Amino acid sequence: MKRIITLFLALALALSLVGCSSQTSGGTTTSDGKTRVVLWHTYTEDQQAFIDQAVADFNASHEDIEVVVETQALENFESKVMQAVSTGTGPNLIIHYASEAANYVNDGLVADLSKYVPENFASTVDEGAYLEATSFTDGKLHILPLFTSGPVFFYNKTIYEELGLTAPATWDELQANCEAIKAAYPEKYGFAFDSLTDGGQTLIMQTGNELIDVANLSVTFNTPEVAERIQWFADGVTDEYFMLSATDQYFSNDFNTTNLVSYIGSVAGEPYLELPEGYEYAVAPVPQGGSVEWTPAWNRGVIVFSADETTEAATAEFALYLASPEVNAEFCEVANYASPYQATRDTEVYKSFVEGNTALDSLRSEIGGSFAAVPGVSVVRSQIEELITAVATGTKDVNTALADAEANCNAALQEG
Amino acid sequence: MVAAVKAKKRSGSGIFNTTWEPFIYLAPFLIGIIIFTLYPFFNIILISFKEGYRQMTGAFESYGLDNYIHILTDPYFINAIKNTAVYVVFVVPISTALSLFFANLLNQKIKGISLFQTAFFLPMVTSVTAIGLVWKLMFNDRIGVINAILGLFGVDPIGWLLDPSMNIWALIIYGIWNMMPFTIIILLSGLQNIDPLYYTAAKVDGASSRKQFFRITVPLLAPTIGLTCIINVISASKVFGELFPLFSGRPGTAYNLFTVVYYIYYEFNVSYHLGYAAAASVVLFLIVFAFTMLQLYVQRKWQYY
Amino acid sequence: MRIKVEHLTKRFTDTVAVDDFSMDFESGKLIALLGPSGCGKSTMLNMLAGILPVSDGHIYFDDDDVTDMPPQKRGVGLVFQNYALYPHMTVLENICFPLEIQKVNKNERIAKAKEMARLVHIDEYLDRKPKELSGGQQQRVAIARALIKNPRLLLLDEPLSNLDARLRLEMREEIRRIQQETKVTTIFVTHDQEEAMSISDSIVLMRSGVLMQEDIPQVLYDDPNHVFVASFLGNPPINNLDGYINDDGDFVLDDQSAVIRLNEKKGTKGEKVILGIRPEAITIGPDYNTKAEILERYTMGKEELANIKIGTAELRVYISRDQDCRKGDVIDLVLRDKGVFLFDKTTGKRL
Repeated sequence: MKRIITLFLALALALSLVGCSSQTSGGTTTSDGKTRVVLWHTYTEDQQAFIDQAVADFNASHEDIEVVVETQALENFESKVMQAVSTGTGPNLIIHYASEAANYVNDGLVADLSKYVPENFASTVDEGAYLEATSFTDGKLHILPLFTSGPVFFYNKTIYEELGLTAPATWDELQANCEAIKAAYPEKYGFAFDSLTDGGQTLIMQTGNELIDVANLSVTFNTPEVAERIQWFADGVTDEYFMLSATDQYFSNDFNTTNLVSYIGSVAGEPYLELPEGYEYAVAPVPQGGSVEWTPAWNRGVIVFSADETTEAATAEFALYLASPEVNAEFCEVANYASPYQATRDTEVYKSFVEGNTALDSLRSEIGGSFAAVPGVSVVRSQIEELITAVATGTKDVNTALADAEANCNAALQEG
Repeated sequence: MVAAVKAKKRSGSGIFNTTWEPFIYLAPFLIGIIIFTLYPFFNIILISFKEGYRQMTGAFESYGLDNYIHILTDPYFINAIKNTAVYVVFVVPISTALSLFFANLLNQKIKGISLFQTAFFLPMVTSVTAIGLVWKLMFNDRIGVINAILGLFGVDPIGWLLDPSMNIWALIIYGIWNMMPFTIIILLSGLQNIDPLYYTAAKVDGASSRKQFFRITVPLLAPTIGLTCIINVISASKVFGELFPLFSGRPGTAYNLFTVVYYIYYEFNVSYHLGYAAAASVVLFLIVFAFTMLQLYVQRKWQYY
Repeated sequence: MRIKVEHLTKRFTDTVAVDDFSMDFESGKLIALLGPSGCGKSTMLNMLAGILPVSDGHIYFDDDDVTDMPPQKRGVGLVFQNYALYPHMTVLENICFPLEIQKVNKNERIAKAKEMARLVHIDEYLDRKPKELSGGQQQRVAIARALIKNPRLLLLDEPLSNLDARLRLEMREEIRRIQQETKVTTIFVTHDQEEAMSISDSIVLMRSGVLMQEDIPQVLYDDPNHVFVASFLGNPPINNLDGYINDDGDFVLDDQSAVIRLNEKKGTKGEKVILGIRPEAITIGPDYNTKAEILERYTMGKEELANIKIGTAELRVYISRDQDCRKGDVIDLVLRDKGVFLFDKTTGKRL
């Protein structure tokens, strides 16, 4: 009996230790002397298959590095990574936005990639992408850009042609179109922003506003010009030209039922568009109309978490492999993204992929921009959505809403 | 008795006496509880007192009440408490009363009753998100079935999901519906434990079904009703997941419908203020705890055993 | 109240629980519905109460046809086997409940309930909950609750079966007393013949849904009309011997191992019969030639029981204490006049 109990306790202890150690996934060296690099991602289907293949190829050609892929659920991915990183059990790299890296910069938890990239790196990548990748409070390179995406204007070509409308170049044209649509089809909505945050950001930035003043950690959007644009959108919602919430989960479904005649959404959403028999859609660039031409552009890239020198170098090597022209081109193809690298765009794979891709054609990355990658930016994002919904539903008048949003954003930015 | 004596004899010869032996058997469970429940629980309490806490590094400036002062003066948190309270106050009594009514119907001996029972419990095994989306469609101001039905009675279309002032009612209606299957199951099992002889006795005395329901069913079911109320108050206080499908991922159409748990989620997941989230969690815990104690106290006065 | 039952029948899907039952229950009496389990006595009770609908036949309370009347209109008080006291109500509330339903004013019903409680001797426990009472006290509460609405008929389902032996004695006297004080016609169901014999004015003996015999207990015991009646009543039970009638009109065991001389020559010659001999119906004396061997002797207080053997048949009989005989002795038997019955072997009917 004594022996059995001792054995049992030992087993329980061992089990609990194993339970703990299996959680420390990142930054260890395997028994065969290989450096272990852990990648967390949320890709599924084709994109997941691509990652698995790319990792297998990389591992085959690198004797001293073993990249391990761990698929994670999309839901709460960011907070899961944050939890894991803060307890030292996180991945070595993730593929995400610069703003995500910003959350780790102040605590020194993400690696500076400038020492791993070629010296002429800045000239190989699009300017906007490079600026964003170095827009952190410390000005260092904390993300290796992989692809660029952004919103475009999807519209129901059949209805547009039937009513003699053309794709709007400006917001005023969009409103005129919506009025015409309303007159012909009172039950249909003319337009929607798939993401109110991005829509709001677009309206703000086009007034020539910089939105976030990184140097002073404050927002600059409380201006009469911005108020006028926000009020314009809110009026459109009140007059039922614009749709504020999708009937189910996505505006693409309202677009598919022709209940919604146009919307601004990510190019990545194009594969989900399937209009009924007899209807066709078309894609155009995001309308302009302010003093500055601007459209959102979302650059995703590799974020490498700080680790010991060997692991960090191995991780960077894998990151650079993902950014290499051939691999990058294929990844862009499976994900329906644009590449920020000229070298990638010169590959045959990429050329044949973008050819005739109307959505990517309409993506104007040359005027694209994004939120500054500073801590607290996620609060700014949600505050912009709240600002727009509050005004559009009449909960607050536009000036109060702007003042409230400004105060909340500034507090969040300054707290870091 | 015999078995107990034997067991005592056997273990008495080992290093562990009977006092400790159960803990060995319980160890896997206890270890799990300690790691996944007790540690986080106490850790959250600790974090809620850490000022300037940095989630990533665990660094903090000092211990103090900053987090509490912040949230208790934060209009979002005050609004969240208010919304949650309104939700609990409406959802728990109404869903309990309706569940009692339906449980009573489902307890009848009629043909095909098992079909109805299954139908009523089906929502429990269906995905919350899927159900939420169905409700979102039902609440739609233009094509939703709810406005269509109200239209039959001459009610003008209501912007359940568009008009921020109607948002909470949409959430409450959905919450009532969501809570019913579980409550019905518990109440039904309680009903089935009532000796049918009481009803026969009452019938011989001429008690109407109404009288039987209020004088026999309800008092005999009181402990079960009390139990479901406690469970439902706790679960309703944690209203959160219901918001996502209804309001396109926002807490209400215009961020007007923060609930306490959504606030915790927001502080933790959007603004990355674990300290505020922890303090809000502790406040929620204290409120629910106090409420549950009060309920238990009231319930003890009702009980017949 | 007089109760008249005509051709009452209750059929369940595949059984007939009560089969063409007709009889009159006399007013103001305490009547026992007696029979083995499954004989249909509880079904009878439930039909009288109105809980079970009847399949055929009629029930009359005095001159009212109550066959299709719902229970609450019949004016019956029903006491359940496990009392069915409402656990959440006090004793007083339980007793008041029937009046509460009749919307009797509160003071009046409390006064009435207290009167009932005094009648059944539980007036000290009015504020208690049922689970704080003993089985006998609960029984009293149940009776009080049944009596409070002045029923025309009081029905008790196995009133004593949930009580221990000592309480049972006490309660059966109580039931008798309460019935005599209230004079309400009372029918109670029991499977215990001793219970039925000891308190009832009249016993209705049932078997398989059929009325076997109805009479005062003593007649049923002394003058059974059927071998079942004779066998069901009496403890120790009657000794039944299979045989036939010989030329002299006496009884011969089937295997001819013994002849028992009968005082009354009722049977016809050669007829197959059952001879029923109650244990107390023999004496030992020298005058007759029915020989028996004593197999065993037991002392039962003032009486003594013996197992004896006549031919191949074994009997259990009382013998007087001063009889000097021991195990193994062979004795001469004399049958008394009382307690000896001849039944037709095939129909079981008394000859």
